[in-house]
Amino acid sequence: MSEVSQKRHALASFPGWQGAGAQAAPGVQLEISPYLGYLNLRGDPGDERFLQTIHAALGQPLPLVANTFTKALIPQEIAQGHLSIFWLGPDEWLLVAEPGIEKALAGRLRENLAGQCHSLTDLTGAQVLLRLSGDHARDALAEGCTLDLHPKVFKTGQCAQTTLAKASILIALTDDLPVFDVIVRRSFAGYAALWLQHSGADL
Amino acid sequence: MRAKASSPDKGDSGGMGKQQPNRLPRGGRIDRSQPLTFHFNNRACQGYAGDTLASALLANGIDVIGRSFKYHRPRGIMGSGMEEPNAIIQVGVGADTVPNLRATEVALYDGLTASTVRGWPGLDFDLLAINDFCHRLLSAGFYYKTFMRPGALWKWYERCLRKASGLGVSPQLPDPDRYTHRNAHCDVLVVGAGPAGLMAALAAAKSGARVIIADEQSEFGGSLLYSAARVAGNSADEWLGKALTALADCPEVVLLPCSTVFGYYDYNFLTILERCRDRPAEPRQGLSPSPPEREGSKRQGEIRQRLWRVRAKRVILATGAIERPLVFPNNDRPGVMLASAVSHYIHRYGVCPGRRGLIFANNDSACQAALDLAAAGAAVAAVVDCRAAGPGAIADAVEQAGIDVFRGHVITGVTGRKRVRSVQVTPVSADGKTLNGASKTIACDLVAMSGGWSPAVHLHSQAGGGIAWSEAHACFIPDKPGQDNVSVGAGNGSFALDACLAEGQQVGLDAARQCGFEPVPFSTPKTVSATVNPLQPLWRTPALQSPERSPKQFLDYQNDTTVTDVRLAVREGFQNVEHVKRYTALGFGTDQGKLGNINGMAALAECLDKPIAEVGTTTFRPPYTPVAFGACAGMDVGQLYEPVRKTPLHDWHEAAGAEFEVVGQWLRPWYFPRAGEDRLPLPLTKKAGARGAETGGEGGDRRKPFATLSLAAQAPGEASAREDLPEAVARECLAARNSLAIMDASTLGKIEVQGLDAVAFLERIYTHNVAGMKIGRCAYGIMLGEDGMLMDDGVMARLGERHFYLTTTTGGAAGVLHWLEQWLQTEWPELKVYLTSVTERWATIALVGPNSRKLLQGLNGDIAFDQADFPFMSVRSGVLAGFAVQVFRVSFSGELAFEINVESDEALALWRKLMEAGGQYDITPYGTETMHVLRAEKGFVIVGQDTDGSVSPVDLGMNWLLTEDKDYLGKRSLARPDCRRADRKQWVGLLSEDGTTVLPEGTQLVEANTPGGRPPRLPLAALLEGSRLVGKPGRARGRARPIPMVGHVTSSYYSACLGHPIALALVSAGRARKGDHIHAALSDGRYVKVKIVSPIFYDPKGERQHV
Repeated sequence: MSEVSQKRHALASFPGWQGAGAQAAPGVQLEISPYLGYLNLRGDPGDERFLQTIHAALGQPLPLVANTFTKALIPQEIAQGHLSIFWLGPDEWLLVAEPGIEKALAGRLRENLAGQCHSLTDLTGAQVLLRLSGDHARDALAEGCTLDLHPKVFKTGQCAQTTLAKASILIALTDDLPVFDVIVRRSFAGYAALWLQHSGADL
Repeated sequence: MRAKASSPDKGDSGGMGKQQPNRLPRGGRIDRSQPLTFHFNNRACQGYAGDTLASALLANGIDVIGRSFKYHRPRGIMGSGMEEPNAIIQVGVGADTVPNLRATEVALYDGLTASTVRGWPGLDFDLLAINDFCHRLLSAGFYYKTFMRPGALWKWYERCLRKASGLGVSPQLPDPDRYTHRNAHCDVLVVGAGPAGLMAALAAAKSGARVIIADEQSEFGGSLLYSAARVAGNSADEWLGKALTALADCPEVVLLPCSTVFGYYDYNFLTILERCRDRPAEPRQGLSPSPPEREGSKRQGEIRQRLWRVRAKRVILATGAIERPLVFPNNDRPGVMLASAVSHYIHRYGVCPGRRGLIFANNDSACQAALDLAAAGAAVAAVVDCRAAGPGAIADAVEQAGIDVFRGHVITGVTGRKRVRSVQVTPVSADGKTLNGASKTIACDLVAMSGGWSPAVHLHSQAGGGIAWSEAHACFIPDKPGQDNVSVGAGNGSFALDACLAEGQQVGLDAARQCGFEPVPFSTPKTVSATVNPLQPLWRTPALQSPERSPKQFLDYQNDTTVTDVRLAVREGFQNVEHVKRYTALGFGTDQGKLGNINGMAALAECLDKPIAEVGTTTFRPPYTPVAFGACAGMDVGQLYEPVRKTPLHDWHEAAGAEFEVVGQWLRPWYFPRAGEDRLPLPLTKKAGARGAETGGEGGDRRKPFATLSLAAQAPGEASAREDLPEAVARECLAARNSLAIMDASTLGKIEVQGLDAVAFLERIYTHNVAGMKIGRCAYGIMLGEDGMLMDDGVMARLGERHFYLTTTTGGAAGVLHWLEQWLQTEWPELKVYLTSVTERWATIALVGPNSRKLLQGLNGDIAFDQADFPFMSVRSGVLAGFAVQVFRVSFSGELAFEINVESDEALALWRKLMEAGGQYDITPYGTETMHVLRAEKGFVIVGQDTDGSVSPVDLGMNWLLTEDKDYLGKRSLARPDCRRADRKQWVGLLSEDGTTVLPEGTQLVEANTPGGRPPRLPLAALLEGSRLVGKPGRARGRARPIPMVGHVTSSYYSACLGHPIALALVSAGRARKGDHIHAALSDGRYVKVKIVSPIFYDPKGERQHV
């Protein structure tokens, strides 16, 4: 199997990165979380057996409330690390795990779901997670995202598929600080990062 | 926000008085410690921080600011805000220049340069003022009358008219400024920060509701900024300061000064233009401190304007009212101003706009101007009031001040051209309709007029609300709101200050409650509103002569529309207000008739003898005031104009010196020129005839850069209808055919289909037999639209019993996924199928050429690549050179080829390994151009190039893909008679008879229908009009005849492998005509004889890909 050293994330040659972060407007921190594992899971939320199988396999239930996500430790016997599960639609979820453990997770899920109608697709490498934080993170996002991200409206634990300027994104509030996780398709990462670098200036 | 007002009232420093003759020694909300220098029409002037350009010009005693639109009459400043029709100026120079700003809205800054937008040769002496005397030629609708004949001269007329009437000049350089957008959401949006708006915002905000309050002025306060009233025991100014502090202390408030709400759209979506550089220096609630710089003195990276896109739960419109001018002869002379503007300049800017003022009004509010003028030390010649008599506290105060009051009088004349010198005053009957007495002349240099107030119902109306005529105030007021909004204050016809405060508070509390907040009641500030004598409508002063004979009485100052124009329009049969507007240009200016419209409608009503309510208003549309294009574009310019999608291998391509091509949003390598490699000149076409040499032929549009280069490099007189092929493309093509070439195909759309009903679903989408596919095998598949036309194509692989992998075209990826999801979700929800896009999961590397297998076999891995284990059109998963891969044995070139899917993050490492290992085969990277040539040699279709949505699979000769014994999308449409026409255009190959001409793509193909078997030779001019000639032989005057057009070229290349050009084309009934000759009509008038052949030029049996 390939080594991590052979991997190159989507923003590896993006100008302006210093380490894992990039220059952005004052009061805005922009970082990248590279090489995370992504699994797309689809199945029938009305099927109790499906839900229970997932719960048993992952040690956490699938979020069934629209536009929410859960985050918990992965059961020890599979791997060390955390797993976030984002609700994408009534029958679709995105599983995001720390680097390198998506294959073990997928293996366990496939094993447990054998014979049940579902789809499990490895999307590792297809997406990039940008982390936006700081006092003016909301201001920067408000320039290109039409959602209401006010702390009383978009709370920690919520996520949404929306657009940032002309890129489709999945946005989630992971901390009240605030910290926003912005998951963007790989080929749009450069555009989104450039956009976030320029937004929020002069507020 | 209050900083400017707090400057001490100290006298002018020496010398300043001379420069600013109209500046009062004290007063105003300007900062006299900050003198500013600016230039108007190259004249150096002085002003103070806090001035607008208009107040500074008035302070400097500049009377004439511009020339009028049609008659080039000298015009001065009339208003004090966005309603200003005359003072339209150009600000700044070079890239920073901004045309058509209202001087009343431009915040003064040091070094500002402004100029008049009209007047030739100069503002003071304007030759076109001759128009003033030729007005009979320039009456309403003169465009349609005077300049109708001869029609051919319109282009010349138009140029002259543009020059004579045009407004400012557009900047010729790129805009150096930055703009941005901001999306915002709130419970309550308050438009206007006058007394009513402030109270509403305060009442709503105290409850904790999220409130945005926007006002177009740089300071909040509206009429309180120049009011003499006392509020809650304080002066208006003091109370305003307290209210603003209380508002800023509320938790969820955004205060937006210098911000015009210019559009009200569906679902309470409103747009606001914030002029960031004009705003005051203090921090704004909820946002970090803003820079103190103003327009013009900018800081690097500073935002000039911000466009807010606001979604509000509830909207409170406290937009105030606009004072109406009165209509009397020569009511446009410099020195004639709105009465409120006079008060405004005195109180807010410490500028007295005249030495001897005269007030002309039909209501009480204008009396304030008389008192203000007197207090400022100016003489007040008289107050002329059309009303006969009546009580009124303000009017009493005027008389007590010893000012002459002419009750029951109107102005019937004005003298003075560049400044008012005197007015003629005549007694009028009680109904204001007839003159009944001798006129008297009164000397004055300022006329402060007031014809009443028109509520600014624009946003209410944009929101879909109705408007109603109020007899009491003689104005249109908001009726039923169209959305979740409410109007309040003067904008709702409540003109008294106490009513504004009380109503504002009430709607604010109501709005908070409606948004789910507990209102926090507080006492309404008490104020004393003077008793008012009711207004008497006066739409036009009765004149000494008929309107046609008396001096012009202007309705719309900006467009020079007079009472006469409206009367003429009615005489010519126009009755509807929208028609009259368009015929007379009433309200067509950049001010959209904010001053003139209501008077114009009244003039129309008078002519039609109808009540104004019945005549109605024209439609109010956004924007309320003009918006710069830069603000609309926001950040979506330059690098951020459009997303540029790059593949995981992009960095390698760039380092290798690739030329790139934009495909959809993707950037794909086009070809890889090597050092020293030139474009390869093709064998020249036959020397063109004399006619051909006249114009340069151009290549197909997709290869424009080549065509441009070749034209530039071409020696004069050389034959031009030819294509230059980059040497690199020829080299890449030959490498793929002879040894080994490699391409980045990552942009292919990729979709995984899983679920119990995957086969049933795909059977309905694709035309081929899906169920018959074995696991591990691939198939070429096409999908049709419901109209039976080819929509997309690609290779499909069966990865499991209920698991498929589809590829789509690069440009069609997103559309196909939507299409499939739409059918699943809306038509076939019973199918248990899940779709997931894996486009970006995999990078795809295509290895093409006879040596591709050898290369793969030489790498470590667990996949067997020999023909027996890995036949054509199959898929294998495994490990290759240490990478987890999916390998497809498919071919878009007709050669032995493999497409390797590898995880995107690892793609570059694998690519490098393949390049290294391929060195022994001289592995050659190639781009999209070579890909196109290779596939054309094999007659493989490209959806979107060879098809255009009107091409069926039958037209393309793909009958072998259409399964008879199943149903699929589009199948029924293929049975339509039109789809079965024998003369449909069919896809064929073309060979130029001369063996050298590369036909431009898109070239029309025509029959050779003349006796000699050649098409008729047309003169170039006739060709240019070709479309008119075809089918109209009568017009051809015997020289040109209609030519049957039988098709067009869809793809065309020079094939280095075959040594001659090849083309693909759609030709009517073409498949049955193989061997026939037709002609390609080039755009330079020449014809090239071509032969119809099979679209497969190379390896027709397909042996090479099966080895």
